[in-house]
Amino acid sequence: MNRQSFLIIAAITLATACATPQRGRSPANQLETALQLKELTTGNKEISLSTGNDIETKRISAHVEVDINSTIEIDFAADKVKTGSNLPDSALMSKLSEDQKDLHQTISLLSQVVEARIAAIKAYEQKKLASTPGVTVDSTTATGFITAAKEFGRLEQKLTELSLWERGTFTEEEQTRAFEDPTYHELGVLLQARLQDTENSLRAAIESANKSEAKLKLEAFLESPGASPLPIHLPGYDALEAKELQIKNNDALLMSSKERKVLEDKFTAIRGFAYQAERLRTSEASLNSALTKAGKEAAARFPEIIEKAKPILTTDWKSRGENLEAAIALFRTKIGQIPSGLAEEEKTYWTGISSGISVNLTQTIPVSDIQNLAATLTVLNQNWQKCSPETLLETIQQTQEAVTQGLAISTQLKKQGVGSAFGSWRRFSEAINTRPGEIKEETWKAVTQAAVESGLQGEIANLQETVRDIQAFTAVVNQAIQFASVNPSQVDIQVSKHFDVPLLSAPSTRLELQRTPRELNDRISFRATVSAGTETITSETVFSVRQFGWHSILAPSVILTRPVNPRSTFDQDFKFAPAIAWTYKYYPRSWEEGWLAATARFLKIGGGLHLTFLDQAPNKDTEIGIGLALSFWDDRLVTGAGLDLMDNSRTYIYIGSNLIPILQALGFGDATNAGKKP
Amino acid sequence: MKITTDRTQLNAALQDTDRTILILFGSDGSKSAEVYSSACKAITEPFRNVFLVQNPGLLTAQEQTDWYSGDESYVALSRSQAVVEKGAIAQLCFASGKPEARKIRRVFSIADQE
Repeated sequence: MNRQSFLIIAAITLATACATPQRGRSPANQLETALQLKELTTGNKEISLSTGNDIETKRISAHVEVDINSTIEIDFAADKVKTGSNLPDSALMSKLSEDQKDLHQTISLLSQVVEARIAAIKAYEQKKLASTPGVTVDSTTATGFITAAKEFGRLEQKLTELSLWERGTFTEEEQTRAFEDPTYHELGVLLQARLQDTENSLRAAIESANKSEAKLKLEAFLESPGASPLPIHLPGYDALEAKELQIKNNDALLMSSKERKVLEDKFTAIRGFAYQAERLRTSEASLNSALTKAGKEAAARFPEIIEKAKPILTTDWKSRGENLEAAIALFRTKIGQIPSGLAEEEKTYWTGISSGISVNLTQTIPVSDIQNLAATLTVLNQNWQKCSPETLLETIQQTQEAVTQGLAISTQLKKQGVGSAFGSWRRFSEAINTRPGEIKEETWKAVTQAAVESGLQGEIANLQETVRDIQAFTAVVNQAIQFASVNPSQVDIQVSKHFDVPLLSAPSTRLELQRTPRELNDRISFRATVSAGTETITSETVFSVRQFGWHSILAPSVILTRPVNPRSTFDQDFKFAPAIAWTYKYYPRSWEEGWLAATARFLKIGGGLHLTFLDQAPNKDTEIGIGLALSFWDDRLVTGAGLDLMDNSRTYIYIGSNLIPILQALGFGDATNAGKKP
Repeated sequence: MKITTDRTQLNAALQDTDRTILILFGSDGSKSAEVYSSACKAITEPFRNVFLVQNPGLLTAQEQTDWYSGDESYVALSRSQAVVEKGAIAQLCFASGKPEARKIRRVFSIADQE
């Protein structure tokens, strides 16, 4: 083996040795074990950035390099993270939800039973009266007793056979007290109280789960030298805009005029909005004027719509909700009080009436929902008052939630009708008025009067006004939301708002490098945080942006050319010429093996075409040469051969380097320095 | 209504074809008497009647055959005096042995539908 062969073999061996797969490090915590990162190349090849699936075997790449056009897929195995509270008590919430549903249904059924019972009693008594000589009765009612009794039996059987009674929801004492009350009043009170308790427990459980449930936050930032970190969109984990695809490919280096125009317009819009946003932030301008002056037509409409919604937003909803609840409670108390001086049977009827109305009223008016909406609107109003660009998206989102709440209530009230709550009142009234002599009319009038004096009528008017306001609110603000949900993307507010996602339902996501303005050798830092109560686990990974696989390079260089068959002494010298080479190169990953990877790693070789301006024929003003190009060590050495298109296709060879311009830049080749300039 | 020696009121109820009837069999101090006490509180509809028959000897032979399942038992009759349900009095009680008004109402609700 001669010396030259030995050097080549030694170099290749050295290059191959460098390609030994990296061992990586063990996960630092459970979060790193749970994270699965994969790089998906443009050729749809998946490359795992970590190996193994558990804390014992998993290895994480110490230095993660990814291709500039790749996508990093991020999966999360929630079961591998054991925080103290990542599992909400779903069994409890499920039971409470089921109880709530059952109680609602039972109250509804009870209301029907109470009415059917009264109808059956009335029909029975009419029938008995009908058989009394000389007494005129309602013949229809009298003959309808069997039907009424059967209906009462059917509903009551349904009520008494509910599985609810067997589930231990109520104690023996509670059931005995409730079912031994013939009017079902006690049962209504018991169900209502239990429903309230259940809803409170459910609300507390949901709030507790929301507070203590483990949340996952994923963030990614592009770090370029000399620039501030730029947030990168991770679908499902932030409110950032998804950027347009930008494939790094030197086949298309130039920006079109249209692209340039879009960029300029976008920049102008962002700059204008950013200026107004900054004024708002520093309290130099109000939100309305800031948005009006933001220069965007769509943004200018925003204050106008908010102005329309102002009466709704400034209403003291909390107090309105409290008044409503208090009025209902007072009404219940009043109708629950048995007027003094009633006979035993009158008392029985009266408790039946009060129970029926109470159940109907509660069933019809979603007091707790209205209270919740009131609380939401109070907070929302405050948030709009102090809205800033940083909180704009969040406030819009909160408003959207309030609209959803409002729509739900509005729909329910519209469907059932506020007046239906008092339908039973009227029916009871009619029933009693048709039983002369059994319930004294004076008594009934006195009680009705008491109900009026309790302010019930006024509260009903308020309730109807509330319904109208809820409908108006949903209409106006929904209009604002529809507009606003589009608007932020138009002005492209870059707000780094990362969501906390419930750990157990954390979706897979991806980091698309093609949607970032990354450049070679930039870094992407990826951070995952799991927080549960006061416990926080963090994992951070840094990706270096590299090129892997086949990539085309457009490389300018200075070359020395010489004809293959010189025709004169003028031709015999190597002459400098500017050239540009378009070469394809293979960039191996650090762990790749084989001759291609070894050669590419050692020689950093590329092959392709070149174009140059020659100076080989004295009688030609312009000489263009084109031919093949070979590049070594990242264009440190370029060589090739081509045809002089302007000189009978004479062939030439060339050799050059991208170091020559650097040499010139350093000042060498000047008249005052060593060497001659090309 | 307790029926000890005179069944006149029971007869009257049986003759009214608009009434449904629950008859409990047992003596004072028995479980049937406790159930009777609970039923009197729970059942006030004029077309429903509850009787505690303390002396089964007051029943006719046919009634004994159709209705009577021994001491501490009950029978529910529809408006047409058909037997809707009968059995041991324990069936109208909680597992603890206390009378269960809900089950008493359930028996009547079935009888009312016949």
